[in-house]
Amino acid sequence: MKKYFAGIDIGSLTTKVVLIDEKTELVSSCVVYTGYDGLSAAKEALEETLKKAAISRDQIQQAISTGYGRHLVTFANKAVTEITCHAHGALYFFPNARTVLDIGGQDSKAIGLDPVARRVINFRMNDKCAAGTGRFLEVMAQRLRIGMDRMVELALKAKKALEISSVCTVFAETEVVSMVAQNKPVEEILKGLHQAVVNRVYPMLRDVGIKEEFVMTGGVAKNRAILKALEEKVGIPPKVPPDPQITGALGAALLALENKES
Amino acid sequence: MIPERSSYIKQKKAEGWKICGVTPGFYPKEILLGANLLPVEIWDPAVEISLAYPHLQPTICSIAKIIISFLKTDAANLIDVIFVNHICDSLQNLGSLIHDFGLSNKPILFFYNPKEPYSSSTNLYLKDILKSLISGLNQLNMPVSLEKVQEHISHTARNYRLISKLFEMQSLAQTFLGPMEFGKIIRSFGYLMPLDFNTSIDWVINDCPKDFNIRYRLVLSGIFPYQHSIMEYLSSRHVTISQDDSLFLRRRIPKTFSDEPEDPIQELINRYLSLPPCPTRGSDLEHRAEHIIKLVGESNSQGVLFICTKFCEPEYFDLPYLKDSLDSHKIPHLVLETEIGEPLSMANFTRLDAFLEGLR
Amino acid sequence: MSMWARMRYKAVKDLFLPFFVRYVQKGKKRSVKRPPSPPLRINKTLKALIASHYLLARYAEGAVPVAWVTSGAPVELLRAFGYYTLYPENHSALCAAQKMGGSLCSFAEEKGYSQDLCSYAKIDLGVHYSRKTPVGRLPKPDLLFASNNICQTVLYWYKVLSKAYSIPLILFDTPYNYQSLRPEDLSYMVSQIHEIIHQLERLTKKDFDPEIFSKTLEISKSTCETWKDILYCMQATPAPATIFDIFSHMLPVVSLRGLPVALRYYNLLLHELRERVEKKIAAVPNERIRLLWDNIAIWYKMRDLSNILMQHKANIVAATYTNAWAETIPYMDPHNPIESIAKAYSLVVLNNNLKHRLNLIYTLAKEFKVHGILMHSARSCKPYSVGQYDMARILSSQYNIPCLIIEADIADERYYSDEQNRTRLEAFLESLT
Repeated sequence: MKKYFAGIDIGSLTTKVVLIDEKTELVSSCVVYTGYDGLSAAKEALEETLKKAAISRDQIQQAISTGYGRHLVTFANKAVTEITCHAHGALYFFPNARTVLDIGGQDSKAIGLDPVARRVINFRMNDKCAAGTGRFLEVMAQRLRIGMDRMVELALKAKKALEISSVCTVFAETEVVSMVAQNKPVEEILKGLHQAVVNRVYPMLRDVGIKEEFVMTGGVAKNRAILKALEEKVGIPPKVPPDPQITGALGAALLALENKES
Repeated sequence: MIPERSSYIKQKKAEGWKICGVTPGFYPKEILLGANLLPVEIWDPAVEISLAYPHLQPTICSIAKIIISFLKTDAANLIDVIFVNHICDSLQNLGSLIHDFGLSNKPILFFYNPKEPYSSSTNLYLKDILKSLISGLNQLNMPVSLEKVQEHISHTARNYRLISKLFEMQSLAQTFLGPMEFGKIIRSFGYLMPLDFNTSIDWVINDCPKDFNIRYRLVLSGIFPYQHSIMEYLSSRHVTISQDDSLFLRRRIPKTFSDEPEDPIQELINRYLSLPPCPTRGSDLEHRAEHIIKLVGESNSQGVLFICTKFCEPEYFDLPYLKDSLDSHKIPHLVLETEIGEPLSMANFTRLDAFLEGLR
Repeated sequence: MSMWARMRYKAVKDLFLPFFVRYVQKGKKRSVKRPPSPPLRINKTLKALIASHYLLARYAEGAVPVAWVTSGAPVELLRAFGYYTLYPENHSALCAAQKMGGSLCSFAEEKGYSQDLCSYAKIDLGVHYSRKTPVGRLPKPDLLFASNNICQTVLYWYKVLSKAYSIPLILFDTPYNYQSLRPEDLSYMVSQIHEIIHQLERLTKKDFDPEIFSKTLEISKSTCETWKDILYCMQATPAPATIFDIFSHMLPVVSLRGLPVALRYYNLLLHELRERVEKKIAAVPNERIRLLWDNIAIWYKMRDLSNILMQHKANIVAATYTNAWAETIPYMDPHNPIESIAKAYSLVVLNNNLKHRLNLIYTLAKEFKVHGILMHSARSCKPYSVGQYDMARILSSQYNIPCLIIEADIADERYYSDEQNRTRLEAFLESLT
């Protein structure tokens, strides 16, 4: 019977599960909302992933959990931090990755790797401040009453940005409202907001060192306006895995495979 | 065998000792003891920190906040005298606030910690302020017996030797004390009389079981007390604190000291002048970096863990230089930002886990 | 020091500067909306003074010994050895006034300096890392001279500079006066001054000239006395200037103290202010509300705050910050220079206990007939800010002087909430009418 390896990433907003086979082929994956019960979300996501691949539970040889709720997953063999998992997930698609930036729903991290030794050398995490996370953009989208997709579309159109000087999400919100009241062009406000997110994560990136290949993971990596703002700030276009949101879970699955061998 | 703090304080009070609440810093413990004052350091009393909000801005460190909060509770009635060390701007103003705006009705003694670089002026000044402290205590009807000071000087000399021995043993062993027990003895340095501390640390060295398996060795640095949640975490991950560079402990242990000095006051001065580097005394950055790197080497440590209280200016100004120096010596390091009175956050546990995962 | 650098410095100072000053004083006509009351005539001279100070500084490197100094350090000692002195705090304030504070801070933050650290320090470090400054170029210092009477942070900051430039740092360690100045603290400081003199002799290979030192102290004392007279012009109702004008005119007493040019300048400013008092020229027409300001200025918001106050016919007529360079004049004694300088610098307001500050605020409030007090709770400045909450409570409840606390930062505009502060300030001003 074929054996599989699972990675379970319980984030504060969403839970992701990835299944790979012994040849590291990605077999199946799934994303659900975490809600208030991480363990249930993990079970639900796992069931869904297995169903999609038509695989039974007992074919999973090893499972590793990661993310904010990693200790909740009682059925995992081991818990590993999302820092290590995102690093391994990034290396899977980009074997020369040296800098990884993960902007998640509620936190963000910058990771410096040694791709040859496949090791995390240093990292920085921002968990205290909503500015510099997906939450910042959500709050603004809500405030401006536009969908996230439209927000990105408009931001990409802007030729220049209106600078948001506040460091705090709450103050920035007030600043944006005030700009709208002054009839400032909304594309420029939106470009400014995306730049604000990038400015917030930039010190973390500088701290770990920005080296090629520079990879972006996490849900916010799907936001093309963020990618553009990052490229403008950093000078290097970030590389993005095909499904950036599941990078952590994928890394966990890969570590589960490695774990089996040790 | 390590007396718990509140019962120890009550016991000492019953024996006729008065209690001196001391704010973090470098102070002549032996002189206070010579006046029958038991110094008890105020680092993280279990009080509601929001009591400080009407007095201190949100961007002031939690050490200052918890001291004010403590003084506003009934628990502060145990204290007979407050002793304020001058180590930074926030605690400087805190001392003035407490004294000038009646936040406590207890007498307050102030002790300036002279800054580096030292010179002959520093020596003379320390002599003056130590004498001034003695006369201040006299005026409070707490006369200082120089004979007793001499005794305590020899007890603290032994304290220092035993603490060094404890770390030495740890760096050579495969199994040793776990962080929980280790944390207890270290914390007791903040309230036990030197003689009693020697008894406790003797027990720890000779009789305490040492069956904790060591997987990681780290040097601990920063301005914070040995908090329970940190020790618990380190214990769960089989991490041992192989050396210490914290203000709580080793930054207050002089490099040179004598057991039976001829002149006790000069001995206390010499000890102050030979303290390891600390940014609160304005120590040179290169000395700090060299000192930490040396600690890593002599203790076979795998890295350095900085635990910094949020908003602590002296520590945070030094960090970038220290991190660069450690990087150039390829010594892994991690900085955790904490607040007194709060357990370590989930994110900090994740940072620690990730750091350990990355160590060879 | 090189002969060529010295020649060039002298040429700029003696030949070029006089033309430069006249050029700046003439100035370009700017189409700026004229304020309700005529601006001070001397503003153009101030501009020329600041511009020439920084211009000459560029040529000082390699020509004369250059020192970077903290605002509370006994600079008179350096004047005796011919140092060209620059004040990073003043430079940071200048950057902040140009709204460059936030961006310069982020250069330092990218190098790992925590966002919670003093913004004056971070701006300065940001200038070092980015090499961006509104004054063109700062000369590399040969010496750092600091006193921790204003705060301990300058020590941490200057230690970093000392490593960055590989130059010596001399610290004048001033014990905090929890109560009155103690004899042991005074001895310590006097003893240090002697040591500092020896150190400066070694560094400059020059002998200390006690006469030049006493003369410098005389000039400093006169400058501070004139500064005090300037501040006390604001007792007039209506006041002839706003505190924002006075903040702008602080540079000479802070950065040029001990030099004859500062004294000359202040005599001109005093003359013009006295003229305005005589002619009853009000900085704020129909001045109705008089206020006192505590803490350092909010350098990037001076114009905005000034406008809000003007709209409410309010004027800030006194400040503990500006008063700091007038308060300790009585201790300066050119006939007993070393001990008196130790006293004068030890007893500055920030090195003195909070009871003293409270009394000072109350006294100034009475002397300047203020209706209320604005307390800037500055994120960056702990010695100035810790204690304000209690002082505000005591002033309002026991002394019946309403107080408003404005949470902001001295130089980093990213920490200022326009809407919130405007609303609170306006509500406060409305409550005073």
